[in-house]
Amino acid sequence: MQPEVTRGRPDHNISMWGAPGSGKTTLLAALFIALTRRNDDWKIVGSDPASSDYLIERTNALSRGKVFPEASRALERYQWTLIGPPARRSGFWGRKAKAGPPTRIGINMIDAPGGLFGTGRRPAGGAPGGAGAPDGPGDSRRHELLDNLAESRGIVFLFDPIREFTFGDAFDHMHAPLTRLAERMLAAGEFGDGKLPHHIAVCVTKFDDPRVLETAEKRRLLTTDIDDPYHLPRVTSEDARELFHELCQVSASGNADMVLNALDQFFHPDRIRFFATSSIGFYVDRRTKTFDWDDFQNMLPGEADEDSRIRGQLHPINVVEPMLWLGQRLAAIRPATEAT
Amino acid sequence: MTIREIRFEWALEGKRPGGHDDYELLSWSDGRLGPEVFEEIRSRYATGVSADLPQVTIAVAATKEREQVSRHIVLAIQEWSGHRDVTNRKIAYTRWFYVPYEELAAHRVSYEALYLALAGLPATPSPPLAVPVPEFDPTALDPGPDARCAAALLLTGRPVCVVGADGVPVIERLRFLDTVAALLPYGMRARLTAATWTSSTARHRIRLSFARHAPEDAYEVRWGYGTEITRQDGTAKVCLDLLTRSEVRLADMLRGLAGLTDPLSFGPADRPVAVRLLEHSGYPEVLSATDVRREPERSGPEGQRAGSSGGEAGSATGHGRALPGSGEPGFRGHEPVSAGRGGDTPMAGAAAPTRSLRKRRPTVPGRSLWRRLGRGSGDASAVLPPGTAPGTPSNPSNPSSPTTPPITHTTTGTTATTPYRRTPAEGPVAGTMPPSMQAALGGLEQADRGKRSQLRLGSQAKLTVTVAFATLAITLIGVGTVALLRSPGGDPRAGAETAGTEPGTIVVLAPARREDAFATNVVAEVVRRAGYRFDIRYPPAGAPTGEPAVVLVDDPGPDSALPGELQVRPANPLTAQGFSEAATITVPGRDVVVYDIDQIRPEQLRAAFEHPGKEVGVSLPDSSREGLEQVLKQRYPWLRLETVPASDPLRALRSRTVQAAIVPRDIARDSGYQRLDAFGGLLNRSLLVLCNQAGGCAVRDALAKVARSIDPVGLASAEFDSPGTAAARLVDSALPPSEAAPRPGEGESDRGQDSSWFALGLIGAGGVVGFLALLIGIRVPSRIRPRR
Repeated sequence: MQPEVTRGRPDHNISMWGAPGSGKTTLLAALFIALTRRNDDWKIVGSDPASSDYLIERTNALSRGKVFPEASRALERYQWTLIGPPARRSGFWGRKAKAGPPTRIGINMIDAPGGLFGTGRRPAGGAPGGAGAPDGPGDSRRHELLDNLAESRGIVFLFDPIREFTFGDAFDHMHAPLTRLAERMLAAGEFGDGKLPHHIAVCVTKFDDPRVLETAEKRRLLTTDIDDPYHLPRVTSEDARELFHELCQVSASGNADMVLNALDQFFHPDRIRFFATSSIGFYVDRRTKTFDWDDFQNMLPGEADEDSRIRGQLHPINVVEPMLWLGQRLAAIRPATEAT
Repeated sequence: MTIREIRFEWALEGKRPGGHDDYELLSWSDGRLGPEVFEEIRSRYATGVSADLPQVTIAVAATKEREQVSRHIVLAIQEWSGHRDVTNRKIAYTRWFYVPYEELAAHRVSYEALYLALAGLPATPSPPLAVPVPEFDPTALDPGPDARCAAALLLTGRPVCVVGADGVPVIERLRFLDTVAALLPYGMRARLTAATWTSSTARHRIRLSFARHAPEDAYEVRWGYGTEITRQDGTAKVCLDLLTRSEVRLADMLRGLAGLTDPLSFGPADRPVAVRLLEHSGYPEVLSATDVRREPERSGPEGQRAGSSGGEAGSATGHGRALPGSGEPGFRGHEPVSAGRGGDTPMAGAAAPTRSLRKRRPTVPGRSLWRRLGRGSGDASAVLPPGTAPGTPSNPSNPSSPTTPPITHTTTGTTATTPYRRTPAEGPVAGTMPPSMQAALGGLEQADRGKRSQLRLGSQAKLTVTVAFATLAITLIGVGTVALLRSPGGDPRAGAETAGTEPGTIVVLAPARREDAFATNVVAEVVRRAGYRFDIRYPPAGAPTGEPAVVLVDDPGPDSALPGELQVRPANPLTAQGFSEAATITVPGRDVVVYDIDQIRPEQLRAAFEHPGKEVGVSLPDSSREGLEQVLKQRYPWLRLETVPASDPLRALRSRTVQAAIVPRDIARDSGYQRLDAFGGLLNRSLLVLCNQAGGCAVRDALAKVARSIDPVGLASAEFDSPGTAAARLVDSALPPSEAAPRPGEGESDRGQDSSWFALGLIGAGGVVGFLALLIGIRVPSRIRPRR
């Protein structure tokens, strides 16, 4: 009756990174729905019972309960496998190509409370630099978070433009962990070319918010997917960087542009990709089944003592794409042991 | 029942109402413990957030101040605050209560009693910080199999997780934690961390937890049932036997264990002590006289660590500082080893309990336990047999281990380490053999050598075998190569293709537009049915020369259905390359007509298109194919046309300003409106199909036949929404299976694959045999040499 310690481990660690309330947990919760809404053959499966439970419960809570997940309090780890369409194998000596087994990308997703990315404000009266200081050596959760970031090669960085507009603290939640991460990678000899070895998917979240959508429209960055039956507006990855830049201009602190600079300084340009994401997507009337510019808000802010709720069906936008991009890039660099 | 006053300190964790920050310490008591301790403990024992609150976490904290170690049992109550943050998420409060262990131990307070006393306090309690708590009566407990299993497994040092208790209330879970703790010496509560709920996906540091799924490194105990513990589980089995023995009254055992309040850890040093205490717990008279000698404390790192911690403790605040590693189980992974993170290693404070058990002398032998934990039991190595003097190599359970650690002799105030030396009585070192065994094995080896020498070959035989193997290898490789070259699955020869005797590949050069996929599929299907394989290429690939090909080109002429216009047959642009026209394929248009059945009947709509009559409004998207509007105006000048934005082509139909709408097929499919089938009034594009001579007559004829069978009127129906399926269906109807040629291409291909694999197998086998011939030629001695 020994404890089970030999379960198959996904090979690719991906960490979520973002300020509190930026939507890290909601984005993960919408993954299953987002994949199901796609017309391709990608699907997500839990690699252990706890991770499967999370998918099931979160999917039910979003799609039926219409409620957002609670804020994270601990470092949560989800082990999932992305299973995609089979890769075509070239036939022997130019003979007929055969379909190979399905593509499988194992990912180990780490979701940390957003406060751990902050500068670590010390509680009033605390001694400076002590073992118990939030950003000091004694904060075990920050240590664990940094360990995970150092082990990861994929990062999903969430930039919440609404929070940035209101509080302007995106840079505060980036520079401290980034500096410490660089310090670790330098010590580990993985900072040789002056860049971190990570791939980073920068997600501009809350694309469904009217302010973000209007910014994108004003900059003429909107497009629609020809295969999307609902004709939901989107911003392509190529234009998402411009949207990010544009949204930085309205930062409450004026520091948001430093986020962009820091990204360019610390990551290889070909390892950064921008996405304009919305975990819940736009509201689509079930009868018209088409996006309506006059009625697209899918989030119903709660009253005084009510949860914010989701108004209609979920149509996640660019939720899967960052994961698939990271998974495929990481798998191309270092194929997972369980990939076939 | 005696009621005692228990002092406590507290901290409140949460968010400020309407705040945008993450969870943090909001308030705390102004006592001996400082906010650093509270911050450290709340960070270390985070268990995630449960949707079902309240939940309780039991943690431990040890602080050192002026060389004085003080231990606290920390009871954290997580509950909803009734407030919300800036994003309207509910805020949970966690109230952390720090109770001095010595006060708990003096009154033997249970977790449940402590929780009931503290839960009713306000979020920020005011002095005096003391609550009345009733004394613990362990005899009232009735441990089930799950609690006994959990207690036994905890003594292995690994965490234990209780599963299957999803609907069980928190108070009952807390009672379970009390029951498990009651089956251990009370002093282990000084290091026991426990929680009534933990997130299954969070990596936490709780030793005894409830969760839906057990962590990988934890033992799983099912609520109400326990788990199967076998002899292979070593210490756990021994402990379970002790906890379930019938010769001891449960009440006596629980009472005895509750009296053992000296702090004990779950580390390898203290676990054997705990097991001995457990064994003696049923015999009060024995227990009172038992020596529970613990392994000598490691002096170096622990002592230094304690020293450094002591330095920290003298900080400006004057508060004690948390000593880490006091309660959590040893976790795998890369926990940063900061000063003092020791997992199960006993800390300096534990080395000198207030009433040191070490000072007692052994008076009662514990032979039965010694027998149970004897040789072969992993943890038994730490238990000393009774009567053994401290410092002697008294570890017979693992006598042959080459990594036996040095024995540490503890003398008064000093520590000296001497290397361990094996005594003859301890038996041989692992890996060495007794002489008798060596003799036996030597005889076997001789016999084996004799057998091997008989198998040696003479030079003649060696040569013969080598030549035979080489010949076989050459033959296999030759046959394989010939078979591979003759394999019909290979690239077809051009001559054979032209003659049509051996069907091969026909190149299909098609436009890359989505709406032309239907024509491409039709051609590909016809080619396939004619017994050829097809290779579809798209521009910028040019028309191939010298190989059989079918090229689809745009019909540059006007729409054939447009009345009053001159029908111009376009010139064949590839005549110079030997291509001639084989057929003209009409492809389904991108747009179709949908109508509102509540406003107009299909026959009325069809009539409205055919002749003037009742005014009918038709909307068309502004992104429609160029010229569609003009064509419609020319053909049906009596229709009222209304242009709508392409993003919402159904807008006019929904608002009932028109009776019908021209919309793209994908919109029509999901629109919920009826579609006007069998209507050829819209633009239908055509593609010219050109074949070269190499394509063969069969393909040309079949293409012509299929193209003739296309009814342009029917192309508007939903059957043609999926180009692949529609093409296959059309070819099926135009070329019944009896007329269709067999499919030699596929069969040949498969057979070709089979035969080529067979040929490759032959070549591979030849290679192996050749290699063997080489080995025989080089390695096998040519003479039989008797060996000694």
